[in-house]
Formats: sequence, C-alpha cells, structure tokens
Amino acid sequence: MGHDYDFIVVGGGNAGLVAALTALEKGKRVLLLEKAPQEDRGGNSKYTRDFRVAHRNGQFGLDGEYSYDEFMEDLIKVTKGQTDKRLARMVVENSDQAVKWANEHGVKWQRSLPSTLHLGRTNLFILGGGKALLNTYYEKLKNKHGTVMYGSEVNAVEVEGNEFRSVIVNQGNEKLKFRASELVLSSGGFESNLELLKKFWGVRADNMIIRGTHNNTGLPMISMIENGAETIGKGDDGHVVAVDARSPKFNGGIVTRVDSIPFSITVNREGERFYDEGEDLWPKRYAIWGKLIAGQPGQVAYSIFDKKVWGKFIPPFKPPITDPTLEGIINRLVEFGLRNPERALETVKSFNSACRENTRADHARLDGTAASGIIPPKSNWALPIDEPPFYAFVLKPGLTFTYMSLRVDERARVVKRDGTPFSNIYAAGEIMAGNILTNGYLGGLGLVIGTIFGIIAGGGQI
Amino acid sequence: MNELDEAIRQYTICNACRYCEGYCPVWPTLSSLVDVKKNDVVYMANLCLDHRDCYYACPYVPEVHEFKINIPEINKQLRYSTYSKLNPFAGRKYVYAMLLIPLAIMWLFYFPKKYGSLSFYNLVPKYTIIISGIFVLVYMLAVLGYALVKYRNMIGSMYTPKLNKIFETLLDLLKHSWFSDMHYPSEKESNIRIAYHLLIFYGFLLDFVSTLLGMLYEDILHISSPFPIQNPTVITGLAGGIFLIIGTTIALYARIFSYRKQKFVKGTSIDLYLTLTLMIVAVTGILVLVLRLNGMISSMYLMLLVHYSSIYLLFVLAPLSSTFMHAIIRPYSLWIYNSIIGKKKLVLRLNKEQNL
Repeated sequence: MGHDYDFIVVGGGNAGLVAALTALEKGKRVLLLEKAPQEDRGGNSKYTRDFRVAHRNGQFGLDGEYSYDEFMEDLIKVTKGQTDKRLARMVVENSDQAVKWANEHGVKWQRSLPSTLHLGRTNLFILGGGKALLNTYYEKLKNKHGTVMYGSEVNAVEVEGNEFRSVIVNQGNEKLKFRASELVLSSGGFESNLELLKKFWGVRADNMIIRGTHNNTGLPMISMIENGAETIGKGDDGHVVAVDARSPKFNGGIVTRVDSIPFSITVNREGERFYDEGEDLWPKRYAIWGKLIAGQPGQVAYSIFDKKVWGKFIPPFKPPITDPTLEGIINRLVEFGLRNPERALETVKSFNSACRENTRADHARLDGTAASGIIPPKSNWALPIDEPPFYAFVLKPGLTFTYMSLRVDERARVVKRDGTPFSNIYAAGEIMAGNILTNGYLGGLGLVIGTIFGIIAGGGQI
Repeated sequence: MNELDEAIRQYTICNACRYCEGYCPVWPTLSSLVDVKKNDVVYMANLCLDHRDCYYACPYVPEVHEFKINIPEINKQLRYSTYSKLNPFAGRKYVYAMLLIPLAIMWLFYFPKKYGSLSFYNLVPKYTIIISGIFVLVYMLAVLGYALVKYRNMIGSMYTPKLNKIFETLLDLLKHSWFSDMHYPSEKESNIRIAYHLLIFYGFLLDFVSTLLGMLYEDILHISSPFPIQNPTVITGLAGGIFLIIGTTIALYARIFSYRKQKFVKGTSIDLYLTLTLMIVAVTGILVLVLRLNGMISSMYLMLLVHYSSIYLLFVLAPLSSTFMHAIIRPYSLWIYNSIIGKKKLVLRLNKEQNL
C-alpha cells in the first residue's frame, strides 16, 4: 500500500469521468490519466450526443413511453441476438439511472427539435452534445479535487496473478509508473490504430475513415489481452457508415455522414449498382452501407441524385458535386476515381426507365415506389434521376468503433480467459461496450453503457 | 476568403452537425435551411447574442480541428462588417470628427460667467437646448432608419417580421430573453452580461423618462427647474444615472477581463469610447446635482458645461458605433425570429417534481 492514489482511471471520456467522479464521492483519491492535451480531451465522447432511455409516459420530457421490453427487443434486433443478455438487461433497466446521474451532475438537455425528432420518443439529447457534457464533468472533477494528468498515454498495465500492480505512462519524453489499489480502464477501442485495423480488416481498411478521435489506439486493451484478459466481439467488425470521401482521416465526427443513399442510386467505381438503396427505412439501413462500400473495389462509391430530392435529407459538411447535365456529373466523378463512366451512365439510364413513378416518394414509410426489372432492384422511393441540376457525393467507409472489447462481469471487472475476474481491474465505456453491442449498434446506447459501468467501476450503486 | 464565404463554410459544417440546436435562435434558424447563403449568414450573425456556448461545446474549434469552427467569432466579424455597411459615416471618421469643432466653440461661448439666479438655462438658453434636442432626435432616427432599410435589403424578403409579433418582441426586449448564462467574460457561465445590459438599458430609459418629466413640469405644469430632490424628475434621473454608472463599470470590467481570459475578436475602440462617455455623462449629471444641493453654484455651472459636452460627444460618437447599430438591428432580427421560427423553449429542464 502507501500509494499516492486509491484509484487510477485510464481515459477521460464519459465513462472514465463517471467512474472518477463516483470514486471521488466515495472519498477515494483519484488520478485520471488522459492521453489528449486539455483542449482535445474526452476521446470519442466529444462526438456523442444522446442517451437512449426507457421511460414512462412523458418522463424526461420525451414523447410517449419506452418500456424495458421494447428497449431490450430493439437491442436484440440490432445485435441479431449477439449480446450478453444479463449485462444488456442491466443496462436497459438502469438507463433511467444513467440519465438521472448525468442530470444530478449538471448535464443539461435540449427539447426535441427538428434534427432529433425521429428519436424524440426513445432518446434524450444533451444540450450542446458530448463536449458540453465533458466540460461539465471535468469542472466537477476539479471542484472535487480529483487529479487529471493530460498528455498521459498509458501503454501498459502490469498485473500480478489476478491483481493490478501499476500502469506505465508516457508523458512527453518521460516514462512514469503509477500505482493504486484499483484501476478503471475507460480508454476506448482500437479503431484509430491503423496498423491493427489493417491486420484485422485487411484490404477493406485501406480507405477507411475513422470518424472518432485519433487517440484510440487501444494500447491498454492490448496490454490487458497480453495479461490474459478475455475478449468479446470480432476485431474485423464494427459500426461503419457511409461518409463523405472529403472527410478528414480522423475526428470528422457526425458531420461526415452522408444520408443521400435512399434518395439516390449508388454505384461503385465500375459504374455498377451493388445493393438495393431502398430496401428499408434509412434509420434501419444506414449502418450497413459502410461495410457494403468497404467491400467494393477501391472502397469507394458514388451516390447520384437530382434536384427533386435535394433538401430532403441533412446535407454533410460540404456541398455535393453538382452539374447541369447527367453526362456532366458522371464525367466529373472520373476525377474522384470513377473508372467506368460509360457504364455508370448506362446504369442511371436503365434505372430511370425502370422507374414507375415520376415525382412523388414518401420517405417516412416504405412507399413501394419500386424500380424493378433491374439488378439489384430499388424497392422503395425510386424516382428517375432526370431533373437538373444533378448532384453526387463520393462515399467512403467511415468507422465509428470496432466491436471487439474486453469481457467484463456484472461488477464491471475485467474477466480472464480462464473465466475468473481480475480482482481490482474494471472496464467501462467503449472498451467493454462489445459485451452488449457484440454485433450491431443502437443509437444513444454508448453513453448509457459508459455511465452505468462507470458508476459500477467507480464503486457506486445502481 | 472574405467573411461571408468563411461564414457560409462554417455554417454549412454546423448544419450537418446540429448539436447546438438547443442553444439559441441561431440554431433552429440554421436547421430550417438547406443551402446556406450570404443573406442567411448576415441574418444569423445579427441574431447571435455572443453567448459562446456553441464555441465551448464544439469539437471542431480551431485549436484542435482542421474545420476551424468558431461561430461567435465569425458572427462578430460579420456584425462589424454589416454595421459598417449600414452606417452612412463608416470610413469617414476623420471628416466626421469635424463635428468636434462646435464643442470647442461651445466652451468658448458658454464658459460660465457670474450669474445672479440659479437656472440651468443661464448657461445654455432653453430654446438652444430644445432645438438641438429635436435636431439630434431626428438625426438619430434618420441614421437608424437608413440602417434598417439597408439591413432589410441585405437579408432579403424571406426574413420579414410579422406585425402581430411586435409585442412579444418588445416583451423579449424588456425581459432580456436569451441573455442569461453566457460564457462571458470567461469560459465559465455567468450572468454578468445580462446584469450590465439591464442596468444600462433601464438606466438609459429612466434618464429618458426623466427628460420627459422635466418637459412636463416646465412646459405643462409651468414649474421651472431646477427641481428639488424629491421631484420625480430628479429621482428618475438620479436612479438612471446610478444604473448607468454601475452598468458601464461592469461592462468595462467584463470587457477587459474577457480580453485576458478568452481568445475572441476585440470590440471596436469607438464602442469603448462610447461606454466611457456614457459613464462620464452619468457621473457629471450626478455631480451637477450634488454641487447644486451643496450650494457650490459656480462649480456647478462648470460641471454642467462638462455634462453638456459629454452628451454632445455621446451623440457624435453614437452613429459610428456598433452599440448604436445593435440597438435597432438586434431587436429587429429577434422580431423576425419570433415571426418565422418562433421557438422559445429550446432547453429541457429535468427536475424531481415534473419529469425526472
């Protein structure tokens, strides 16, 4: 014993801050090690926005009611049943506790407004988004005299048997060692570790855009795997969406997502369509398109549409490529890697002649306006692309996070491959989210998982 | 890249994010747009009250991100450039400074002599004051009217207020809606700005009421000034003066404090001088009263001349300042917001009794 701290938290995002604050409130001496400098703190939590929460009618100012069972069903649906049901149930049934905890700790909320309406029943939105939440928690941490060390990269965890001993930390050019009686790992996944991605994903990782922080290299997770920790979820699978090809390699966040696909036809660089753009409602389908594009040659695709639909979806951070003629827009795509413009033009024309409807499509429901007789068909919202000006977005796969995580038990303890837990090493947040989101993603669940497991890891009660 | 293009670039990124949607009227307005155009950014810049919430909540700020988003900053720059376009005197400051010549003449002409009885009009005759007052009023209204017409043209017909929203907007103005919890003058939320703005706003109104009351007593009730201290003219004037002194002091303190703590564009120097002048007007006004009540009549006349001079200077400076322009453009923009978007409650408060 005789450590300077009782509690070391690795990673200062939502989960780490919740754990640190909980431990501080229990009278513990807490050290939070954050890899980023102060102005860039908070990892992927910066890019979050909402809590999915079960509630009675009207509770939390949300519309209607969202029962535990419905929440659980949604979770089972998106993960195709691949979830640790005990932990999942725990998260679902404590989602309201997560919101209450955040509210008590100063997080502010916003009402359902235009951009959040489609989740107005199930999700509660943070006023200002994740960075506002982080600022609030860091301020609280300061007031409670927690110690934060910025620019501190933990690259190894030392254990003895099933007990935590110390963490090895790089601070600038210095290599330091910190000891404490308990350790919380809340350092996220490894999605910004390009070397590791390449190893797991192969060629599909080549043009991958990482939507979150560049800091999630996964060193603490890898170190724990070397220490005998058990993993859950596949390393070569994750939450991947279609993003604008002009996005920065890292840190593009929410604004990179392109929602034009159901309003368009989407071709690969050979000018061929490769999936039904109108298969199902967009909120149910957006999450598959990243992987679809990653599977195309050159990991690139082109979403082509016309004036009729411009303005019907939230545009990404840069205006689309535009041209007054169909030939023109397709030729402009050549400079963005389109190999076969002739074929692309044919694809658009044969799609146009397969459309039965000219002007009207109802995107709020499956309207059955199909283009059939082509392969693949477009099952809904198929309108000919014939009204100038013409528009296009160049798409790449954008990775939000990988599903592979450290396995934990219901006390948030990291579990070893022999099935026994480490006695004083906990995990919270994205580093263990794969226990629940083993194969799929449900919007607004990340912060809930981080908050609940943060509270447990910090020694609190839920 | 000019300010308009830069603002369009930034707002286009914001419109793909929308995390700030609950902060202030700018954001629901942005959400209603598909393409962000020049007139939109000019209007939104003038809706912005400079809370800086959005800056502190933004993951794309210049310090850490290549998107380099700083909406309060670009809005402020846009407001300054808008105001300079609305201002008939912009860029002619030095020609305009000739207006200071009459001030010198005033001093030569009116420097206090020995007067027998105690009357403010011994110094400057009543009709000179009334005529200059009317002239200044017409001139101020003309400048504001000119600015308003130009601003309407800049933002286009899609931003037009509705007559039935005018009382709601006046109420917003009196209540200072949207003014609380600003990240000013440091990154922590505070109510310093609403405090000094209310003090200056109501201080100004009280002094205006005092002037009207003075006219009422002199010209309708035929009771001549100077009035005793318990007269409503003096009471409102004194209260307004105290409000102005406290308000301008806090405003100047906040301005300096913010420069040291926050990295935003500085206000213009004209506005600094205007605030200082307003403070001098209030201080000298109160000193005139104090000297009068203590029977120090010749000092009072000298102080009165300083008081008149500072008022004159205030009206010379005002049309050049953003402070003056904002007094019409802000309420007008809010009136438009109330007319076309109208959402008042953006924040959701959770508490035990209601919905937690």
